[in-house]
Amino acid sequence: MAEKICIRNRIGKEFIVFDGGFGSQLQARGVKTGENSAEINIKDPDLVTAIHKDYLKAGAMCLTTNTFGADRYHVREDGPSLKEMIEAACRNAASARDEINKDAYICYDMAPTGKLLKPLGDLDFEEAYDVFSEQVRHAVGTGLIDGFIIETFTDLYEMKAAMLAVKENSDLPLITSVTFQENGKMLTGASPVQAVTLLENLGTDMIAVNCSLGPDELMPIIEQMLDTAVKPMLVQPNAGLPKFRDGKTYYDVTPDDFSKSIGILIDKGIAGFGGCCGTTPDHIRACVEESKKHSFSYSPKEYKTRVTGTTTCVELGPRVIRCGERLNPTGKKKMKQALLEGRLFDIVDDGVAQIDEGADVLDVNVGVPGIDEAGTMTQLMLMLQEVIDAPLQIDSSDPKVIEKACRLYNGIPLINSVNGKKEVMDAVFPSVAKYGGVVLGLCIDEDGIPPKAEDRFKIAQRIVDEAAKYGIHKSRIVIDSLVLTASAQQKEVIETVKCVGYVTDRLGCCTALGLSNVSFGLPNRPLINRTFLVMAMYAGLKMPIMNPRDRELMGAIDAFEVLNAHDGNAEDYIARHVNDVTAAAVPSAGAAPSQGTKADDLEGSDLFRAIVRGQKHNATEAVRAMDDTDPLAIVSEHLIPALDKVGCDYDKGKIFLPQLMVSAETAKLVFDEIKGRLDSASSGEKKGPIVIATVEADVHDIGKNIVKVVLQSYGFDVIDLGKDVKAEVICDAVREYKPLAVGLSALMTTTVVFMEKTIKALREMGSDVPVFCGGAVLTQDVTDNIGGDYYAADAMESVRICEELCEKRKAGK
Amino acid sequence: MLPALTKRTLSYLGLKGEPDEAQLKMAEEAIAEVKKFARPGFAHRYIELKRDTGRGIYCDAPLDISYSSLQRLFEKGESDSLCILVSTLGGAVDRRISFLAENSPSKMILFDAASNAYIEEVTDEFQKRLELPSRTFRFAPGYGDVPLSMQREIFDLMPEIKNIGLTLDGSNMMHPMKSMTGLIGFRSR
Repeated sequence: MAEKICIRNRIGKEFIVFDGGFGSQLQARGVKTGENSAEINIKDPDLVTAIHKDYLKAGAMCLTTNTFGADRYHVREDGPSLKEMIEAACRNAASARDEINKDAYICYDMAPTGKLLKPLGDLDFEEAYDVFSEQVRHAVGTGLIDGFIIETFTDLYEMKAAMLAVKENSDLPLITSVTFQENGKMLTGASPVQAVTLLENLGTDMIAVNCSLGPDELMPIIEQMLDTAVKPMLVQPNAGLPKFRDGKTYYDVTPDDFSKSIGILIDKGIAGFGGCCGTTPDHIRACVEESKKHSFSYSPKEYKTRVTGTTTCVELGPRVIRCGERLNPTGKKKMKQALLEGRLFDIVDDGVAQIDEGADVLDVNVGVPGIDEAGTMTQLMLMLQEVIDAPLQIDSSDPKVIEKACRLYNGIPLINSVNGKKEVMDAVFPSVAKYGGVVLGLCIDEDGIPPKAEDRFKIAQRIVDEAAKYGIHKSRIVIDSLVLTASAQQKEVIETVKCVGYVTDRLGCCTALGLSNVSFGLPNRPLINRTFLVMAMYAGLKMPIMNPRDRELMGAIDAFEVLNAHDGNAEDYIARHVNDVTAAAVPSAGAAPSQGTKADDLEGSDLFRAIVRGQKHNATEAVRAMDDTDPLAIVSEHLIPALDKVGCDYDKGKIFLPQLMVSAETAKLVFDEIKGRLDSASSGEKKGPIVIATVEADVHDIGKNIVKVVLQSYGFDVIDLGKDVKAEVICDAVREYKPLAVGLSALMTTTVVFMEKTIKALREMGSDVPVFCGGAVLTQDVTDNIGGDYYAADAMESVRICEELCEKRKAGK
Repeated sequence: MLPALTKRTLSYLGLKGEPDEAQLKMAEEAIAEVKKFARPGFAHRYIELKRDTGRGIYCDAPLDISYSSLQRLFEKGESDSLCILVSTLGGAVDRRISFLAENSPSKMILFDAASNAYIEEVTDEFQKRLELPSRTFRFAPGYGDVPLSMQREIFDLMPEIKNIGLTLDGSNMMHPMKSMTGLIGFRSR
């Protein structure tokens, strides 16, 4: 036993043969479905040992303990303890081994908890970690096992918890197996490449796929994994897809067919095989026979630089990756304030906006003096991961913040950063190694930033060498050769670009640069940034850290990818820029498609047509060109007629609500454009104000928001009190603003009472302000009943009501 | 033939008749975006329905179904069992709606309609997989004479709902908001 070769030394060198289905074998031998299979280790050890023995006789060299689902959630109060079940399971496997084949290995089997991790479910990451650690400690304590197999995982986040539990509580070899659905994705949406990235970076010894599908259905998934995997692969398919008969599940791929498929997979490069549900010792025996007809053809693929988010995997290299820089409080008063006040939602919104603008990865930095940086970082990171599937770059100068954030991060993060200083590397590399991250290495050390490219390259080299000592491959280092300001250190800008080239060609690492520093102190900064970006990309830059809202900068990357022949047939470029060239004739990029009305049959001024069609860019251009027209005439002769036409088309059902809204948004832009002119021209004649609110206890504000935009487009000054607004707040607003009217919205019958309460409160304070009511459950009758003055069936009706009140007020004067 | 999801989205947007190209494109883009943000989750529970001349049809569980809309539904369907089905698109969809409300109200409306259509669709699909024999249509609390407060009873009855990230607020509204509760009668025997 003592001289037995560690299985880690055999993986990747010869076929690793695992056993087959265990649950189905138990059932075949009389165990009822639903019975706690781990308890059988104690109740009927001979039965369990017999199954192990049959698999060993069939040729399996690795036994899986009968511990699927043996965790604290599956321990009955009056049943055996977890420790007892785990020890019995390990003993049963060991006695089979001792009897049949002393050279066989025992792998402790660990399955998912069956609970969902937050934010999808309610299980905390650290609790999941505890559940797995407990098993690992019991299993290691038996002294009987040779390794771990974590299998049938459908969520990579839970897999991360289990892997950390094994790594932190033992040194034994680790095989990690994930399960895919028929659509080629894991249950949580992860792709095969994403799974490979996570498993390899977190230090698995062997990547595996098991369960849910048969060998043939798994084929395309396994191929994708083989195309990217550096580590050897084990496959354990089911005996086909599950079928149902008389309320029972069965599988019908025969040992012969099963082994033929395994043979094909061996030729494709798998390094081990076994079976899952429905497979039997006969299946394994057939596979062992089949494997003798094939040669072992595992070949590791090249290391690539990949990071993952919840459901995405981003590879740096084939294409330029855009890292959004805006989640950083440096020089940003608003974000600083939001962080100090704990308004993280506002920050999340800007993250979402950057993704919308085309960022592939987001840098996240919360470094503000006086806050709990680690706590804020993890909270913001988890909030971001709830809405954004892109990878994040954890950016902090505090190694403890990096450690904590990396631990809880769902996926493989980018880490910003280490540099040439020994103490920084000593503090950060352990986290990079343990959590599988990809880290930025800054070309600066104790002596500052060297002026010459050669010297910066030496720092990069040193970072890569030091990382290797921690087992971090250079593919997980992204070098930042640091951008200097052209206005202050003009001659050194080109050194940065040279260093990018050196790192790319000589070191083979990916590179990143924070662009915007370069233009500091110069006029038209975007032009300098853009030009510098192109120079750097040509030298090999893979990840600019930039503001994705700068469309010209983003466009430069799109153009570069075409000219560099990375964007095949310029497909992406065309999709993004098809509207650019004729910007004056078609709506600008990002605007909604033009409205249903055909271009030719619409008469009227440019402005009129632009509003009807909802072409924001054209409308602004048109109104700018009318700078000598009386602003009131613009409103009455172009804007209002256009809105009336749109309103009329909407009433007739010719266009639908979103189109009405796009026109309203366009009109509002026009209004904003001429507001200055209007204020000076018209003697302070304004429409409104109108106070609007969704009433107390109601959180539905979609209808109210529509009314707001449409009213604004007609030039009304709208004061929006928001949703779930108490009667008192509305009364206060009426006192303060003396509005032309109050608009109240409620969606539910249960909240109409609050609408009534609000109207009553208004009347009690002596206000006779007209109130118009709207919302899903409102009708003319309901409005009359609760004392409302007008019922507004839709946004257009609100406009008519307010216009009417406006006329009345004028007439009254 | 338009896919049902597109059709439903367009009808939620108030479109009568056939959509033109621009309308179709707007709806399809919104649907694609919803799919990007949605993470559907489901919880369901079967409960036996019993009959009594005095009480009419009642549940073998602490859930009041004495309302006439439900009595009629289960009577007509000759249901002997009840399936409570709760579904959600997850919090990211809500957040996206709030985000769009600030940035682009027209897109918000499109997204809102598409998410309403999408939750109907994924719930229909989930329900289909349950293969409920001779089922009634899916009835939602808050309609007919059934008060929204029934949500509270359902949430108390099914603690597993919290596993899909759903909570109730003081008005018995579900959060995330793009979520549904349905009562379906069926005949198990």
